[in-house]
Amino acid sequence: MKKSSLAGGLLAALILGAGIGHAFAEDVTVATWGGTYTEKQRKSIFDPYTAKSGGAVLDAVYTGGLGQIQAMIESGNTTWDVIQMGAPEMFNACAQGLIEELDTSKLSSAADFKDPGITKCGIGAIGWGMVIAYNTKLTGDQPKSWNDFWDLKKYPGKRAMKREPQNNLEGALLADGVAPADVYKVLSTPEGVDRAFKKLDEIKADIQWWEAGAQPPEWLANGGVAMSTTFVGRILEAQAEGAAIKFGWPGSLYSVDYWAIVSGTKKKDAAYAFLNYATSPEAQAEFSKIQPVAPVNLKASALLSPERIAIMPVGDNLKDAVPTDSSFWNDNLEALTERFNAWASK
Amino acid sequence: MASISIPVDDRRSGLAGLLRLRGPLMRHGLLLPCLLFMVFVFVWPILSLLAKGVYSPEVRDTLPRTAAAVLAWDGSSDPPDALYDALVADLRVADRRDVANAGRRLNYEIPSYRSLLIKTASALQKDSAQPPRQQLVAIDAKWQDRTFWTAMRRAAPAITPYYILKALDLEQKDSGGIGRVAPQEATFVDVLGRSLWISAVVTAICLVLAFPVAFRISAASPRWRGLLLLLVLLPFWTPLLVRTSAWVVLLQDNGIVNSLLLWSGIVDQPVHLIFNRIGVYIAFVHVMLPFMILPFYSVMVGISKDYTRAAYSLGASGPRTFYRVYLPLVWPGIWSGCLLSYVIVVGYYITPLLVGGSQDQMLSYFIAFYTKQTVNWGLASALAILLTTCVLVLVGLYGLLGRKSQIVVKA
Amino acid sequence: MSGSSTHKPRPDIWRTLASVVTVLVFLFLLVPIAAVLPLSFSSGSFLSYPMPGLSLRWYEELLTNYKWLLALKNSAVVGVGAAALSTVLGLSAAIAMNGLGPRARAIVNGFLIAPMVMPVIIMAVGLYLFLSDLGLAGTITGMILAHTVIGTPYVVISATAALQNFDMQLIRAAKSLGASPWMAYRRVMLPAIRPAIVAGSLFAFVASFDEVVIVLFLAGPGQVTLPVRLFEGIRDELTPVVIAAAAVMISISVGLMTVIEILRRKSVARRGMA
Repeated sequence: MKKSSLAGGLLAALILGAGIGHAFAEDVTVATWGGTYTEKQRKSIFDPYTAKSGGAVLDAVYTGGLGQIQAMIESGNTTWDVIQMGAPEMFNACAQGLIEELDTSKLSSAADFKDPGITKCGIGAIGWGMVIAYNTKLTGDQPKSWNDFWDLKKYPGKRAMKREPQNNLEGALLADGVAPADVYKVLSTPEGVDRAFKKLDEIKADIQWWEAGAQPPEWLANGGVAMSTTFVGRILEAQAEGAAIKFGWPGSLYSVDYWAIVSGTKKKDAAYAFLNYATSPEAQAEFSKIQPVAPVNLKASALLSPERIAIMPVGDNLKDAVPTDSSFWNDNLEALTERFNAWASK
Repeated sequence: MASISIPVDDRRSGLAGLLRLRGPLMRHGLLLPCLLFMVFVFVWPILSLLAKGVYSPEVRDTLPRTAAAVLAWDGSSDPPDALYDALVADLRVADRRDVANAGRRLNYEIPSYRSLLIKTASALQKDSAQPPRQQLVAIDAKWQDRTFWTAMRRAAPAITPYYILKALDLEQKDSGGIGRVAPQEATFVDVLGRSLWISAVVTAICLVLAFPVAFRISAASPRWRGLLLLLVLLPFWTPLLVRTSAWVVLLQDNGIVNSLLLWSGIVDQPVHLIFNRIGVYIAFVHVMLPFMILPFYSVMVGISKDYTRAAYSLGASGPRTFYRVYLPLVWPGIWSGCLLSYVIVVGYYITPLLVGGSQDQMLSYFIAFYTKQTVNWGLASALAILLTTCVLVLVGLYGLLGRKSQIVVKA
Repeated sequence: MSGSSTHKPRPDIWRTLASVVTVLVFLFLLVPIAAVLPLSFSSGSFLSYPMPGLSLRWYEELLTNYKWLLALKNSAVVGVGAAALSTVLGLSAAIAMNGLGPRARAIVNGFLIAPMVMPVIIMAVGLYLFLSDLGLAGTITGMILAHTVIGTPYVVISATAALQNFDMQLIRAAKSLGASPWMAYRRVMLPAIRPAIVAGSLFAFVASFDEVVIVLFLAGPGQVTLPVRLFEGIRDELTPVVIAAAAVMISISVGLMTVIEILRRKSVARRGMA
């Protein structure tokens, strides 16, 4: 009796599951950032692509770094076809042959992208901005800059930062008075790195590290942290739910995420078909309509309303922002990650 | 868990007769599939992982001539032309991905070495009439720098102490000796100490709490006993992630615990209970308590009350009976419970990851980090060697003390 | 401390203390789980009290979102596969071990239950690299193999214990009555230890069902299981859907645990009869 009910449950689960994933021959697996971000990509890019081409899109969570791709490729068992990745990782992966060099003749929108929106191995997916957000109840008076982020007296409460050296070291130098244009010049010297870590020491005891993009808005909303570095999109979602959170553009860091094709994929044609759709002005605009990231396709902005563009990391919003330097991070990511780990775990 | 606690009795050998009938083939035949499976899917993967902690042939395999030449060089004189010749010859024929792998290994010695190697390899694709030394120096002046060649010399042998040293916060100096890494880079000795410390604290708290609980359950009437055991098993079989997520929700700054504390006036500011050591201890104790209570209970319930009763009737006082009669009897169960719990905690990954801060991560976190995030499999393996050693020492201790404590009980 | 009040007329403060600690420990063990479960019925999307209202929307989300359904399916397939394989391997090993001398048996036993003390992260990374080499990473087969390593010790322990209490004379008796050895095993031994075997395989299933670290390493997008989905949920979208999924997992785990407990009592009762 127990056996049969267990078997019945399994059968039901199998039937439910059977319809998923393998309905079409030309399916493609896309590795991207996960959570609501992926859900929105599904709505605005994956599902319309499936409707148009008949090829299903499976999504995988990519958590940064190159380990997952490396392991797949070294074993000759590539389960991802397309990946969305940050600029330093993309350049790094390209140099190591982990992602394919793109054949622009197969990319229908290639002409609508301008360097650095299109590179040897990557074509722009989104332009993102990392900003400082704050809980308005806890900070009252609106904090504006990295100086304020470091000012624990004026704005008491925990700070949240992503558990990685990128963006944080830049922020520390900005807070220490380095001019935005000189940040990477300073950071390229050992003294500059020491200076950044020394600055981070000042607030270390009050930092709560986040790893997933959904954590900062959750913590800001529940008052666990007073200020946090975060991506704009997640903040707007929380605001829509009525959370007392605001953010400011000055001092934000911005860069491009790229679409790339994983080396050794058995579905190159499907991958290009997907990229062609995902980089079309329509798909990029549709995604930007529900996620406040900037489209990289130059023709996409025309499809967006001015109100929407006003909340994206573009134009005037980037007046006092710092573009992240991917070649710096390409060279130094590993060494600084080591240093950062050692520092953070003490 | 309940069935684990059934005491092992080696004396029964009714099967001996049967086995004579069935023959050794059958006996070992039945054992074989399981043993083979365990060797292939348990022992082999772990051993080959641990081997990566000392075996790192990327540079030797990708740049064989260079490796031979650099090892023939004394390391202190000016790098000879033979080195440049060998490197150019190697890079001309090397596969791009292999170059990247060798570059990754060299990057551990000097950051930026990988970019240098990849850049050099692609620049060498063009033919040139220049001699190799000038050619390389023209591509990047770093090739004149002797430190890049001494780094190559350290990375050239396939068997390397680099990762093990790194896991102990040590490194080979340019001079050849071994010394500590720069203080701002030292990480893993701290992490090891922290893993051992956290396990000790959790085990101690669990011991103090589990002892009276197990005692109380073993002293209860059979009906109550069944119910109480069920109440221990309930959280035990609640999936780990469910329990962890419960603590995340409860211990947040505006979580249920803090709301209660604020409401009752005990505190006037939320207390930080999560993403720090306190959260790790709370969640760990919650996970480990059943692991302690159950083995404690299984020894306590087996102890006949006649012993203690006899002690009393011979005039022993309460505490005396406890120390001289009861404690020696339950000792083996306590030791095994504590060591089991210690071994489990020391290797834990999920709980500190979800409720701890960056200063509460243990060895497992770094093994996972270097495997998945930075692809430094050598370092991940060296840390795995460290962790496995800890576990083996503890299990050995378990065997040793287990035997000793049995002697104590007999005496 | 005798546990018997007849010899200790005055109230025993140690015993009272033990009772107090016991109550507190039980509260500590059970209240946290009980306290968060109601949040799965919240109509809001933040995980805190007071709830804005009651609704079943998160259960609806759970039952309609393909990711959770896929995870449920994967958990079931991997759990059943691993439990079946563990049972075959563990049971045959336990039967064979019963015939070994005490020393050899202790060694084999120690070897077979070693996965219980080996840190999971080491198994996970080792299997990840090993199965990648075989092209089995990111496949259900690979996950079943990995979880069989975790599940087998439970079957071995459970079956060994039952076999030690099984009277081998019965087999001999059956044979003297003309039964073939296979018959004797199947008709005499198996029924006697069946509850222990079933309990062992359920343990193996639950061990697989609860396992997250190995799957985190091995699973590709199509192989995510319920615990890993929950893990992603905790880090990525801490909404009541996570608690709803937790409630479902508790029901499955606790349901199976109840079956195990019933079987255990049955086998104890059977042993009592023998």
